[in-house]
This record gives sequence, C-alpha cells and structure tokens, in this order.
Amino acid sequence: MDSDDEIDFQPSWRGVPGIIILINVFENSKHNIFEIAHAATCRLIKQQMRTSSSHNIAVCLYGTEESSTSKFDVKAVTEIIPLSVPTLEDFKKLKNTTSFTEAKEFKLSDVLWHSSKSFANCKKQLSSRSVIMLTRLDIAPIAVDQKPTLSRASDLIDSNIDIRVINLSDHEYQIDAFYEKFLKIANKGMDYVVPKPIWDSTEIEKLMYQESHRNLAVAKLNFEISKDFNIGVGVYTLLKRPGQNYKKNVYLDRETNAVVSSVTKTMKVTFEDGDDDEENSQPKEVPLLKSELLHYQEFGGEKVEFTDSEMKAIKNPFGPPMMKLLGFKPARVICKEKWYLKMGYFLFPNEKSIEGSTVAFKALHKACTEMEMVAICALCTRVNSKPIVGALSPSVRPLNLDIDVGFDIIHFPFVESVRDLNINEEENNEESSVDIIEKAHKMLMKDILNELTIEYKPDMFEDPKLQSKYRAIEAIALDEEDSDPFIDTTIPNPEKFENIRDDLFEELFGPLGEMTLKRTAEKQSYSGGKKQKVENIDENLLDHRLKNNKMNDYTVPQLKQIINFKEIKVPSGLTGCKKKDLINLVCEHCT
Amino acid sequence: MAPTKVDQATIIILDVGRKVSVPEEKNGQSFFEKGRECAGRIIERKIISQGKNLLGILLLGSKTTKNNLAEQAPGTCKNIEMLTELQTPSWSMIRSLPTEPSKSKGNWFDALLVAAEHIKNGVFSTKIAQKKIILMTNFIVPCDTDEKQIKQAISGFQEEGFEVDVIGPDIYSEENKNYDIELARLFVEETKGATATFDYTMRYLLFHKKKATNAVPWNVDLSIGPNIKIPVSAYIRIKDEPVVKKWNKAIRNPVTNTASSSEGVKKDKIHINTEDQTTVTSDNVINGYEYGQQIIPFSDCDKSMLYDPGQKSLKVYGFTKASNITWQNLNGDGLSYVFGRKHNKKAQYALRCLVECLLELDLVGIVRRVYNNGNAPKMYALMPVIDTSNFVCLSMVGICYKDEIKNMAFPVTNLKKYTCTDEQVDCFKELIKAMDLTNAYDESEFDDTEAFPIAKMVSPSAQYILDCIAYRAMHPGKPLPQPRDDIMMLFKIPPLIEKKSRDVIEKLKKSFVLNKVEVKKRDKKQVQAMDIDDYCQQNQPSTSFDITNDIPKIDLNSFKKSESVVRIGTINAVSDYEALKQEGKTVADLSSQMCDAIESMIFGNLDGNFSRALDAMMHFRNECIKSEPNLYNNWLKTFVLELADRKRNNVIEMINAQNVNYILQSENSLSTIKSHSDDSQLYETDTVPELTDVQISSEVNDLFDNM
Repeated sequence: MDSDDEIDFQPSWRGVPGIIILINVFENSKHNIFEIAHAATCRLIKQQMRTSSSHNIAVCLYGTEESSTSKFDVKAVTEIIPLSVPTLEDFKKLKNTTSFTEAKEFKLSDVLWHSSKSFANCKKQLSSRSVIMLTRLDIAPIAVDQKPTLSRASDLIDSNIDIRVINLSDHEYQIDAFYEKFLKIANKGMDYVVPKPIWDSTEIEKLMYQESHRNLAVAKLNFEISKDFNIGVGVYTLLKRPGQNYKKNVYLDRETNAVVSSVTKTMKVTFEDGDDDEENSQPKEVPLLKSELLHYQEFGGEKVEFTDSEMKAIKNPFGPPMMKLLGFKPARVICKEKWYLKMGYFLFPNEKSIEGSTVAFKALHKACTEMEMVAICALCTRVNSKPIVGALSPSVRPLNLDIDVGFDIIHFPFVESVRDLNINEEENNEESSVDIIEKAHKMLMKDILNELTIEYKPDMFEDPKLQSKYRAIEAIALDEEDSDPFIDTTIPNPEKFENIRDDLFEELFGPLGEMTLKRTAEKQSYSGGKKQKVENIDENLLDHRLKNNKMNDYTVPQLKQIINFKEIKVPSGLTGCKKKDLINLVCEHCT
Repeated sequence: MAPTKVDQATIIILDVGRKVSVPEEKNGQSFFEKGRECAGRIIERKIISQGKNLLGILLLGSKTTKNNLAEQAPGTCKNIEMLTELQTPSWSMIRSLPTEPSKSKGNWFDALLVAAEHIKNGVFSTKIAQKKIILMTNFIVPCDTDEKQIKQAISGFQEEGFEVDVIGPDIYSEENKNYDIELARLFVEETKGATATFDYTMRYLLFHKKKATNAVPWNVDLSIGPNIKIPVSAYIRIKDEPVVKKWNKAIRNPVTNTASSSEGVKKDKIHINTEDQTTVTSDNVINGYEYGQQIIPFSDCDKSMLYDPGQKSLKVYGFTKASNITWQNLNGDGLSYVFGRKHNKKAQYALRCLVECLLELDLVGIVRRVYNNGNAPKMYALMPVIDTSNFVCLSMVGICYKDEIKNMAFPVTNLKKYTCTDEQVDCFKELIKAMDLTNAYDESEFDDTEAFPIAKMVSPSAQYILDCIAYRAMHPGKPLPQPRDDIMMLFKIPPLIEKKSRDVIEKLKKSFVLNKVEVKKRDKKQVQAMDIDDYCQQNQPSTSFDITNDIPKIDLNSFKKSESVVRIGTINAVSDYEALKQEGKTVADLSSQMCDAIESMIFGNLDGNFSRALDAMMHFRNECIKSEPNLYNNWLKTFVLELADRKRNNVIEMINAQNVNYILQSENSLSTIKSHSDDSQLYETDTVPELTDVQISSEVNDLFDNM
C-alpha cells in the first residue's frame, strides 16, 4: 500500500495554481529582453505540457501598442495566452509570437488591472494566484501612470494575489526609484530584496517554475519535543520517486483514438459441484462484496485468514500521524553507504500551525549542527502509513535550492529490512589471502581514479528515456524536429577515457575472466547478426549486392562471415579491420 | 531420488514429569509451565520464519512410552513419548503440547539417545545441514548412567554433528549444582551447544523473525572506459519489503467463516472507451500521451524513435568527492553491496584495490546501470564500505535525475523576526546532552547501552502483522489483539533519558514562545459591513463557499453560541436572531434589526440569489405569527412599497411565491389582514415546513458532494 502520495487535506490547497506571466517589451529594441523572456516562457509552457500539469497559466505582453486582444477591453496589453491550462494551440501561438509594436509611452497600471480581471473571471477554483513580471527595472511608467500603478499593485496584493518580479538584465544597474516603491508593495510592505538580474533562459524558467510550484506537504504535524512542547513542521519530499514522471500515459482505442479507461473488476466465481456432468457446469460469476473477501497466507501448514476490515486494521494500529523526539545521536552513526533504505523526507517549520516554530526550529538546527548530532524521532506521516524511526540531519541548501534551514529525515532500516549476505563465509578465507594490495597496483588504480574525477551536481543527469520520449511526442505534436537536440547525459564523453592506462591495468590485474558464459550465449542468439554461422551465406544476395554496388548494406559481422565462408586469406587477421577494408577484400576476391 | 536439503532439524525434549510440576516459588509458574510456553514460542518462531526446517517433539516423563528404542528393546527408554516426529513445524504441534504434567518420570539421557536415533534414522533421503537437540528439564530426576556410557554417547554425538542445547535451568549456577547438571554441561560444551534460562530465552524470542530471503547475485562487469572490465556481483543488502509479500484472496464461506472451497475470486481488467462506453479488447488498446490538452496516439511504429538503453551493464561515468553525494541526492530503492565475482580471485583483488583507493582518496564512483537488456538506465553512486560484518565492498545506491528534482521554494527564514538567541541554542544543546541515546541504558543492567540501534530495531508494523498471524492461527474466530507493550515500547523515550531531560524541557518551555494557532472557523458573524460580504461573494463564486455560510441553518436547533451576538447581521440573520432571542429579547425588540438585515440583503444583493433573505423573512414571519403579526405586516407593507419604487418587481413576485406574504387573520387572529388581494389559496401554511426541509436536504447533499 502506498501511503506517501501527496494529497493534502487542508482545504486551502483546493484548486489549482493560477499564474499570469507578464513580459515587458517596452523599448525592447534597446535591450531585447523579449527574446530571452520568450524562450524561457516557451520552455515553461512546454514543461507544463510534458508533465500534463493542471496549472492555469496566462501570458501577456505589455508596453505594446494598443491592441484588442484583451477580453476585458484593456488596450495596452497583448494577451497571447488567456488564463487557462495551456493547450497545444496556445503554445504554438506563443512560439510564433515574434513581433509586436512597441508603445510610445510606457504604462503599467492597465496591465495590472487586466491581471486582476483575469483572475476574477477565471472559472476554475484557484489555490494560489500569482503574477510574474519579466522586466527590467530602470524604466518607470510615465508620470501620470505611476500612482495608478501603485494603487493597482496594492489592490492585487490586498486580494491575495502575489506579485513576483524577475529582473531581466545581463548586467547590474541602478533601478528606478519607482520600482523601489513597487517592490515594497509587492512584498506586502515588508523589507524587500532587489531581485538580482539574470540573463539565462534556463535560470529564468527555473525561477518561474519555482514561483508557480505548489508546495504540497506529505504531512503537516506537530513535532513533539516533549508532551507540551511542540514545534509546527511540514514534511516534504524534495525529489520524486524514480518512475513517478511516467504516469501521464493514457490508453487509446486503436480504431477511434478515443481515450480508454481501464477498470479492474473483482468477481466471485462459484464452481458447481456437478458430479455427473462436469463439462456442463459453467462457473457462475457474481460481483464480489468486500465483506465476503478473505485475505489469507499459509503458515505452519494452515491458512491464516483475515477479513477485509481486519486487514485494514492490521496495517496501522498505531494511531494518527505523529512525530516525536526520542533523543539524539552523533551524526557519524548515520552512514548512507551502510544504511540507506529509501528516499528521505525534508522537514521545514510551519508557522501556520504553531507560531514561533521557525525560531525553535532554527535553534534546534543550530544546536545540532554545532554539536554534530542528529535528532532521532519516531514519525508516522499518514493514518495508513507505517511508522518509522529516523534521524533528523540538519541541512542547508539541499539540492542547491534556495532553502536556508531544514532537516533531512533519514529512514533507519529496521532489522527486517536488512538481508543477511551469507556469501562470504566460505570466501572469507580466500579473501584474507588477498588482504594486502600491492603498492604498484594501488598507484595505477589511483591514477585512473584521479584521471576520471568529475564535479558531481544533482541536476547533471537527465533521464534519457523520458527526454527522448518527450521529444518523440513533440515531434508528432508540434511537427518540430529542432528544439533542443537530445543529449544522453548518462553516457560520459569517451574522450575522458583515452588517457587511462587500460593496457597496464590488464597487465597488472588481468586476466579478469569473461562475462558469465551463460549470458554471452544468450546474447548471441539475441543479436541477429551473429546468428547465421559460418556454414551458410546467401550467395545470391551477395552476387546481387556485388553487382549493384550495395556491399555497404552488410554489417561488419556479416562481412566477416562472408570472408570466413569464402575462405579469403587475410594477412593481418580480421580483428581491427575497418568495414571499408572488409568490403574491398570481398570485392577483390569475388570479382 | 536426490536428497532434499534441509537447513536445520531440531528435536525439543520437554520434561513433563512429576518433578517439574511444582512451582519454584509460591504462585509462580512451574518448570513445566515455563517449558511448555518456551517450547510453544520456539515452534511459533519457526513457523513464522518459514525456513527450511524440520522439528520434532519428544516428551520426557510422559505417561505413555512411545519411541523407536523402546520398540526395539522393550523395557528400555520408558516414559519417553515421541509426540511428533521430525516434520515441517505447524500450529498443531503447539496445540498438541500437553496442558498438564504427568505423574511419571523419565530419564533425560535416554531421551537424548531417542532423539539422536530419530534424527539419524527417522527421516529418509534428506540432507540435514544442522542437527539440534534442545533439552528442557531441571535434572532433578537422575539419569543413573556411568561415565563411560556418557563419554561414548558424546563422542557419537560429535561424530554425527549433533548439537545439544539446554534451556531452562542455569547449569552454571552454583546453587543448582548436581551430578546430572555437570553431565549436561559436558554435553553442551562437547557438542558446541548453547544454554540459557527460560527468562533469557523468552526475552530473546520476544520478536518474530521474518522469512529470510536468499541472497541472489546480479552479475555484471563493472566497466571503467571501454577496456577495463571487472566481473562483479551485486547483492541486495537493504530493502524495504512488506513482511508478507502477497496476501492471497478467497471467498468467505458464510457457514464456517473460513475460506470457501467452491468459490473463488476472479479479477478482470476491462478497457472501456470513455466516449461511447463500449468495451475495448486489450489488443485494440494502444498507448497514448496527453500533451497540451490533446491526446497524442503513440503506436508501435513511433517506438523506433524511443531511446535504446543498450545491454545489461554497469558503466563508470566518473569519480567524485565523497562529500558531493548527500542524502538528498538519493532516491533509489534500498541498497546493494557489490563484490568481486565469486570464485574469481583476480576480480576480488581488483575490486578490493578499488575500494581501498576510493577510501584513501575520499572518492565515490558514479555509474550508469542497465539492469537488464533494454531496461531504462539509472544512475547510481558506488561508495566504498567496510562493514561491521567484515564486508569490504562497494555499496550501490540510486541517485536522482534532474527530472526528479521538484525545485520547491520555501518561505524565507533568515528574517529578523526569526532569529534565535544564543541562549535558545544553548538550551537545545543541553537537551542534546541530556538525551544522548548512546548512553540510554545502565551499563550494569544491559550489554548495550545504545537505544534505537540502527538496523537492529524491529519494525513495529511488521511485528504486529506477525503477531496477528500467530494469534489468529492459535485463536481462530477471536478478534485481533491490540499491539502489545513490547511493540509500543519502540516509540517511547527510554526512561533514563526521559528523566534526564525533564529539567531541560522545563527550561526550553520558558525560553521559547510557541503559540498554537487556532484553526479559524469560517465564522463571519462579527462581520457586519455589507460590502465585505458582497466582496467575498464576488470573488469566490464557488458553491463550497456558499455552503459553508449556510451550514448553521442545517443545525439550527442545536445551534448554541458562546460568543455574544451584538446585532443581527446579514450573513446568519436567522441564527443571530435566535441567539439574541435566547438572551431574552422579544420579537418587538428585534424586529427593526431584522428588518434592516433583510432589506440590506435584498437591496445589496448582486448575484440574484435571494434564498438567504427569504429564509430570514420566513423566520421573521414565523416568529411574528406567534405573537405580533402586525409587526411583520406593517414592515412588509412599507418594504413592498419601496421595492415597487425601486422597480424590483422580481422580489415582490418572489415574496408572493415563497409564502412570506402578509400574515393573515386565519394564522393569527391579531392580524388585520383577512386575505391576500390575489390568489390566497396558494398560501397554505402547512407547506412551509416541508419547503424548508427540501432546501436543507439538497444543501446537505451538496455539502457532501463537495467534501
């Protein structure tokens, strides 16, 4: 039973996020921020489509000449995508938007009014509402527009709509005093930090993605330090489980391409005890009631049976979700190379349930970090999830994300999760004989390791299967081959291995023996080329190909076969011969 | 026929004679009772762990004599009964254990010989790896055997590889010293057996042992570049698995309440076309993909465009500083240990060299793994490990792909209002010192002072499931027990730690301000201003919102409020009215407020839904019928006039249609109005309660629909 699905029962999470992306194109000819903002937005929309996300996204340009694209009769805005779940058409429209007429004078208030209207008229229930502005911060709106802009902005903030400003520029510059006021309003009157200028479409996309993301907690709990001392916390997962990205497949009817849903039907089948006419006794099928179902497993020669409701009760008799401190241990006891069980959680304070949690959380974090200790706690995230014991290890900036405080929750394996490896009982003696590794061998090994050292980053590998699948789908859906070429990030550049001394390795450590024989045999039958043994080649085909100059159609192994079959003498042996040489050999011999 | 292999064959010799029937202490358990319980626990453990074991039970001091040696030589080996011969352990063995001790006595040495003979000759064509005899007796009945015979037996046992364990008495205690115990000690020592008291054994057997999984290697070549290939084997070391992997399903026979033999469960997967609701056969189903609100069919021909992961492999991508791999990067399923291939000394040597060099350089490997030809590739970290159980190997854990990083954003915490003082940090440091689990138990009492040792704790949920299985088998039909205390202990702070932390906790409470935020009820009674109400309505036209507002109507009668309502608002006019009435106000007192509320509800309404206003009117009207009909009638008169002025004829129509028109004399004699100017038949009072009923139930339905 999988209990960690991200469902949050708090009503505030109802609905889907709504995001309006506003791109400032005023004086674009000077700075050309449109190009980069456009690229980033396209990528964001594409990513949303890939993951079939249900976010409602709108994209608008402002600082343009008056147009009539707005539904609400706001002239100074060019609405490219209305607030909805982006469709393929929307994406194409955005992608093909490359030209626009810049406005003569810069107004900002209208576009904010437009955004507020869009949200008000959105038919879907929105869980969050945010406006993301992609803009430079050095050109203020014209003087008459400044006051209306600020009041529109505070209107938006008052109606619970977030305003995020992304500063697009390739260099640092002085921001206009008007935007200081604007940012202050956007930050709900609190102190604000001027957003750093960025100029990389992938970074911009990442920022927009983060702003638009829903932070669903696995659980929101009171972390019980002692009976009447609790800290409000949220339990999150920062990663998806492997394979979680593959969910968006649907089934279709081959004939009509209509969506097909699959239903699993559980039926009760009765076998009639017809003694005389067994052939005729058809099993009867009737729908099954849950109360009729028994779960059983054989133990000690008997079926041990439980009813369906008992089965549910067995799964978790330990009560409601909870988190409780049990004590502390030195940080060194948790070795990931020994005790990794499964993907951990991430713990973050939650002011919404208990005020003051962040302060206590930070104090605990600091104390643990300085004393190099981890907190041990019992945790049960859901009513139906198995309780665990885990360590809270203080972490800073996990996965290079901008998170300055938090704990990794590390699952401790229970004794039931550890398997005995009774493999080295007999080999222990053998291994003790190889206890001492020769210095020369170590030297070589270290040379190899140092040669192959890389800087690891958590986001350096992309799932090649998923990425190529996306591209295949996009090739059909968008008729585009180009976009970004597919690079398999999981395969290292072969050049890196050119300098390692594999010949010496073979000399010192070898021969290391072949791959298991059984497997190799299987593989031979698997790859078609080697299947045809030396005995037979299709001479007609060979003739045909020789005459029509189609020798290139043969694969190298096939060519080698022909050479063996024809008993062509090869002075230097076949290994290492190039295909061209092989073809020449065959041609020379046969013509 | 090739002999079947069995890991262990055990015979339990349980003394059931007269000499074990008396409790050692008053009201305590007798040796017999303890022995029976212990034997039961051993059998249960063997059943649950589902190993390849055989078990036999021999009763010593039984009333009947039934064993092979006695049959061969009648008159010998008396009062020794072979209760069950060697077989797969079963629940019936536990059930067949005698409940009462006998009045006889038997010779323990003879019992050992009977057991040994049975293990040797009792089972055919079976290869037994480990042979064990567990002796449970208090050695009060002497065996009367001379040393020569004993020595002979011991050497015979050694030759056959028998192990003799003695459970029950402390055979090393000075108190229990007698000749027989000395002999027993000799048996245990010479056959490399073990001995323990009942208490110790029961503590050791406190928790169940899960069925063991055999280590199966995943064999592959670890390749570094194109030419270096080290043959290795990977074994799963840690994996989160359910204790019972798959439950079978059966139909309950209503008569016996057990699984039916004539009925079965059948599962079918059916594909249904969502457009025309027809069933589609599975070979007519193709894969598709939802992309930008469109369905992209993805049939077989497009698969050529898909990624080819290649063949089964384990290829090094590079090596990186060990500190670069953190817990957050890991999202694999468990952990495997990688060794050099078995029986390949060169491979083992090379791998060992790799492990040592990685350790010395503080590096770990990053590898690309294809589990089997064509499987999706996954990246892993290969970390050197020297395990406590003397494994020198690489440990392999899955690391995340970029696609799997969620890129979450969290609120900023480095704000001034969230800074913690040094005193606060020190307070937690004190707590850490007080709650150090490496010193949780008193050294004098426990071997290990560490609490919650990693990978040595048992899983509460797994143990509970196994408990339930054992309980159900032994007590069929009875309701399942709650988790026992031994299991619940696993969530409790060790007492010593709890005691030590008490003072610090008090200090913590003083140095932090933590206020529980009350979950705000959607209680808008305090809100009086009309515009806010309407604002909410405008912005959240969702039905759920309206329903929340209407909830009090459903619960009208039981509605009791703690906070006082000052005046009648527009949101819950009816309940406000009731609340004020409870405080002793009369209809006359409240009428002007009620009228104001109703008027503002109607004049301020924008969405055209007047149900709340009409409900309020209905309520007001019903109140007036009881005592002061003219209050209502007079107000309504002016109100209708005003409505007419404002050209709100729709509202007037509604007032007529909803039975909230003037109160007639027939309803209350004080009323001055005899009949409505128009169609008076329409207003029959008895329809009123029904109408309200209907409204409520539909709202209840909506409410549940939205939940």
